Amino acid sequence: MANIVVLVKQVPDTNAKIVVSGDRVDLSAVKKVMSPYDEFAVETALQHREATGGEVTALTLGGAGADKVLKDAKAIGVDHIVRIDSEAELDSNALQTAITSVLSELGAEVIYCGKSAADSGAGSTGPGIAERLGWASVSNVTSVAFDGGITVVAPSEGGNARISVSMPAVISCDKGNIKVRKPNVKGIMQAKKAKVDVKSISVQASSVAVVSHSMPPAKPAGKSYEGGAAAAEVARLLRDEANVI
Amino acid sequence: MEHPLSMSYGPLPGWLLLLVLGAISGGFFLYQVVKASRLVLIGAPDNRFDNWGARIKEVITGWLGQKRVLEDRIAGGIHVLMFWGFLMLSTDMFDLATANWFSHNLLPDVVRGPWNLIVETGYTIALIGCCAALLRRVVFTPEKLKGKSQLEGNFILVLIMTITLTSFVVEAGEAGVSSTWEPIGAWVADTMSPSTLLVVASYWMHMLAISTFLFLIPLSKHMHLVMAFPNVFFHDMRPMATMEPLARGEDGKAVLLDDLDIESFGTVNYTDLTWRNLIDGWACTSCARCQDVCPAFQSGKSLNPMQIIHDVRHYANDNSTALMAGETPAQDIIARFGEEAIWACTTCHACVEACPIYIDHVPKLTDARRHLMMERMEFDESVEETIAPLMATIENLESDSNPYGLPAHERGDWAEGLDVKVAEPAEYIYFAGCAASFDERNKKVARDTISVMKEAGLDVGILGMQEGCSGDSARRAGNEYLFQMLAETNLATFEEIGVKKIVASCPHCFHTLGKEYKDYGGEDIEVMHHSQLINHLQQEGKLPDPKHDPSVTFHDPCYLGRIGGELDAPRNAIGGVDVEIERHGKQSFCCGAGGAQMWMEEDADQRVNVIRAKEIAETGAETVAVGCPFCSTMVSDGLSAIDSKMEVKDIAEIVWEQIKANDAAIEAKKAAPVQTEA
Repeated sequence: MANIVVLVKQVPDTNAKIVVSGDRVDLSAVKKVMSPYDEFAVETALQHREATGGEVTALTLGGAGADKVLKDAKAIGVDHIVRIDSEAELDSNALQTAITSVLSELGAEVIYCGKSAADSGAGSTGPGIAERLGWASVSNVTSVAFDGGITVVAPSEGGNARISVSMPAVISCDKGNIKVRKPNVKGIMQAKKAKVDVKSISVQASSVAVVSHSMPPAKPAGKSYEGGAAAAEVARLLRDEANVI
Repeated sequence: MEHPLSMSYGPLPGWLLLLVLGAISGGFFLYQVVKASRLVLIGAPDNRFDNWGARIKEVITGWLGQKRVLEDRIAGGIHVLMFWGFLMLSTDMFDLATANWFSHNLLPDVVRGPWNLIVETGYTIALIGCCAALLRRVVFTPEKLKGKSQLEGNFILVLIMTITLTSFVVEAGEAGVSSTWEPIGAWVADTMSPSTLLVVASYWMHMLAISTFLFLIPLSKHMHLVMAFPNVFFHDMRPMATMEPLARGEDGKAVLLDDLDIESFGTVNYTDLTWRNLIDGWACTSCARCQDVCPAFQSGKSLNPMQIIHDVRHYANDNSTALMAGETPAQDIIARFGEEAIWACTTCHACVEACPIYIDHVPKLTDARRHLMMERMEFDESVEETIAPLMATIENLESDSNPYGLPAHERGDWAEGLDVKVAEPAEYIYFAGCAASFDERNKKVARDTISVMKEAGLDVGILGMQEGCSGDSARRAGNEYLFQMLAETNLATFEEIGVKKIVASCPHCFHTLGKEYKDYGGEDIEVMHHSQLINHLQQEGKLPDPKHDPSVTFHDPCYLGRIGGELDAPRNAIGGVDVEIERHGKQSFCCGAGGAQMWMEEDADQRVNVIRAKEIAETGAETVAVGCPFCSTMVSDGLSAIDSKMEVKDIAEIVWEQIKANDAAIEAKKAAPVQTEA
């Protein structure tokens, strides 16, 4: 029996067109989805429960709009859904502190999260929380087995490492060979009716702030050459400018 | 002579013999009818008690008038003779069973003569029909009957023949047979003067034949004698192929997703089918007209629509004890239908159109899909390959609102440079649909449609990236939840932008937006197919008259022609069609893409589009006009597969080509130097 918590984050649809208006990304017309790596974390958490028994709680931080990702997790089978209520844009430090404070309250024994969020891409939440809790931490795991304990596979220099992890631990999940289950409509309908446990806590102020967003510079137009005479020039450019040969 | 019923046969009086015979056969018949009715009434509820006027009218034309039966002139004509014959002769049974008390004591004298004539005519035309039917079955056996047991059908015909022939002999034996009102009976009396023994034997043969018939009716396809009437009366009065929402509120409208509270989805058990759906099983006459027109069956797939209907009745009979006790049999109805059959349907509704007694084959399959897609989410090994691409399509629809998985924000890109309003109010909103928005070949159709509308001076807009998939594929694939989500999203967009008139070049959008969305809102929005608008604009003189091209034929898309009821507009829009494909109009044959088949895997040797392409190529036309993006793709692929060089063009492309050619001719005329006299 394990008390399992999975951290989920709402991010802009990864297929959406990102527009910067003024000096900020304009997400008003963009659909929000669960960060794709978090889906692997939810699946792994559910597999953990199925192997050892216990309960899975999905936890997020955000405004009421973030309930959608919790309900998505509920639809495929998590037991409880909890949201730390905060509309503020938090930096990693403030966010990890806030989540950590609630984790103890939830009595978590093992925590799963995505290896990084699809929007910020920082990858610091898992290790940061483990640091605060003083727990074991494994990142970027590509497969998990529950034969007696928890055994994960994570990339290491020049290959993969098979690592035995003892609880309590924080495990961040990569895509690997984890196949995420799909909700059936019955699950979706029941999830819609599920109640979100909203935690109101005081959140510390961020110590860093985003000054502005900007689009990456447009790719310069490609060059084209015709005929055999240009071959020497093409070879030179590939070697000196593109650095590919 | 004494009436055979008043005679004594050894120690037994005739009336006692008849009473025993009647009690056994009548009792059996009644028992079976009650059993069948109970097996029907345990079905799910369905309100079919509305609109009595229209229902009665349909009974008059469809049941009494045999409207649909007569679609097959020969078999239908024969059937009409026997059907009307039996209606006319039926009351004679009372007369025969009461030793003429019925006609002599109950009927007023003035009626007796004409009544006799009606009965006599009934026997006569039933006999003619019966002989013709035997001739058809035995001598001119239709292809579909070859190799199958004819025993039941032929035995029934022999019974009918016995009933009719013996009746004339019995009449001849009656005192005072009238040559005016019973001419054949009188003729038999005159020419044969049948002996008492022959009359008595005929009487009992007649009664015995009727009794045998009473045994056979409930055990055979002849149960349609009982069940055809309720099947016609309670038929689905909504426009063809309009599917039922997950739940309806008290106002009759679909319950919106936010308020939806249901536990199970679609059909998995026999009792999930509505009672009206269940009657079909007993009403089926096994005429096989559905099987003859089914693209899945014709291309060699596992689906035979007639078998699905038989499955309902056989399943009920096999499990009758459990079902009537309210238990759930171990095998569910999905397993009986077979998943291969369930996933082979193109929802083209050719079977429904062909059925003489208003059977609804398609909902049984789409309801089963609903269960598989929304609840079970596990598929039989036999369909895994078929389903795999469909599942990817469903995911794409969920994330990007199009089946291709292309970014939703690129949806309106096809209209770049066309100077058309995007997501703002306009008199006409062109709903491009997924295919014309993302598929390169079909983007041209969208652009040409806009060009034609602008040529006519219309105030036209598109929804651009705010447009979403209509949900047709999701709905026919059984994902009703996704369909409703897409429908509600589109309807919210329509309301926000103030959409009043929608033009669709995809018949699936045309059907879904125009008929099915009405259950969810947007009742005032008028939806038309682009061929209808173009034809209308031509008639109003806002577009030049179409030019007739004898080398063009037209393939009717199922959801425009048979289901949409629009056969003339696309033909008129391109200036008329001289060379029709053999199966055209309401009898058109599916291209193979409907019912979400576009997104499923089809075995290379079972391609529906190849069958259709051959039929199209047989016309000898140079171009086949289409009015559906999926038909366009399927027909093009089919024609390539048979190495045909025939061109495939959408109605809008043909019309726009003609307009451009016309404009170019005018320009050339203007530019030509004015001839002056020397």
